[in-house]
Amino acid sequence: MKKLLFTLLTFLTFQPIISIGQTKCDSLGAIVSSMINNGDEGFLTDGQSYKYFLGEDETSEIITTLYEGINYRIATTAGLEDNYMIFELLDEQRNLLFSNANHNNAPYWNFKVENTIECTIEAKLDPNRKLNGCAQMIIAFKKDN
Amino acid sequence: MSISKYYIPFVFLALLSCGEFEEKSSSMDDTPEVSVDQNQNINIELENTIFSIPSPVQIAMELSDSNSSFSSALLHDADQYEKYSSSFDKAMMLGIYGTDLAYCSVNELSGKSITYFSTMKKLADKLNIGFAINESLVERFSANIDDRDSVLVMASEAYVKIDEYLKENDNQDIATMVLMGGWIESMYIQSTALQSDTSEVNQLKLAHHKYALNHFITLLEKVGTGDRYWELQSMLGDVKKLYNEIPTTYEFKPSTTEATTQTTQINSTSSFDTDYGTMLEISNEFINLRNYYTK
Repeated sequence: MKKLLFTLLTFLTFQPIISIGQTKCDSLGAIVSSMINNGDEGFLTDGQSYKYFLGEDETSEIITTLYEGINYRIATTAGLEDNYMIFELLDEQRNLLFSNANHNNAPYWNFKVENTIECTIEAKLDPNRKLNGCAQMIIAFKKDN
Repeated sequence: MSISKYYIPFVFLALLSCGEFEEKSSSMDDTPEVSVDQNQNINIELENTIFSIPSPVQIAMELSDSNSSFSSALLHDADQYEKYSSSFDKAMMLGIYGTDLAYCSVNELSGKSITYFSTMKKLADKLNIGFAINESLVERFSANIDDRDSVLVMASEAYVKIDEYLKENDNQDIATMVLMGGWIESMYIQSTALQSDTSEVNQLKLAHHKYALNHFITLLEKVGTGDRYWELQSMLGDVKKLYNEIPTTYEFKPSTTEATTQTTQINSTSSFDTDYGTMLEISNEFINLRNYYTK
């Protein structure tokens, strides 16, 4: 009986903390989703979840293929402020194709692709704005008209 | 009394472990709503690397734009879903039916779209991830079934929820199999299209999936949890050997950015030197692979 009560009390202690963390991290999804079609531009997400916890000086990388004839939008967030995240697009030789750091950490950017190429998206928190936390990215696409 | 003795340290530890974002600037104190327990297991990446796989919707859209006409014979029978019992098979079928849904939706076949969405819901329930396709989403899907764009948005929304839930609950292997099933079905449809229209455009479309294939092989190496994963990895390795016979080139060219529209044009070029013989072999491999896993 005591064991049961002990287990129950332990669960009740930790469960709200886990739930709060989950809920608040989950709220990033709504923020980043709003960047995908803020002007009814017809972008669709690629169907995958890119969510990670970033520590100080920690970088997450997403390896992706950008297909010719498709327009892409990459959107990322780490909170309610727009500019916590720095992301860079690198080609297979690690040449820099784009960095949002050159555009005041713009939270989303569009890409037009002429030829199918393999790329790496590197994402990290801007150390001048946030030291660590949950971050989320969406890769969306639409057909080039 | 003895229970309190044990309980108090837990309460103390719980309060200590309630980590929040460390904000660099005090001016950002008004944005505490988005926070996370640092000890929470949300690190879903594999050694800090995540592989992005092309969406089934994207591939279905490309097919609808080509000369390939819709063929219901290519769809996997939705009634067969009950024949799959292992998590491996159910996850793969969830992906396969997801692609069939995209294929039907892009071609504006609303009746079939509802059938495949319902089947996905049943399979998701069997995988204990039914909430990802909840009743609200099913109702919205049915209400908007004649609006192709809305249907594709909702289908993509369901894919994200499934992927997110599986990854956050440490089911990387199952999440990979859902993506795998979706991709295999896409490659099956695209391979069939190539065999009826052998144009260079169709050859290139299939050739461009060389990178995705490599990503899947790496993913399986990392998350595979048994013989069936190794078997699939081996079969994909055979396809990779064929892809390696297609010479590819890449040349970096600086991108052009237009800040006002927040758009960057990627100017780098690549080429895939395809030949029909090799592409036919690759398409046969994909067709055999898909038929191996469907009953």
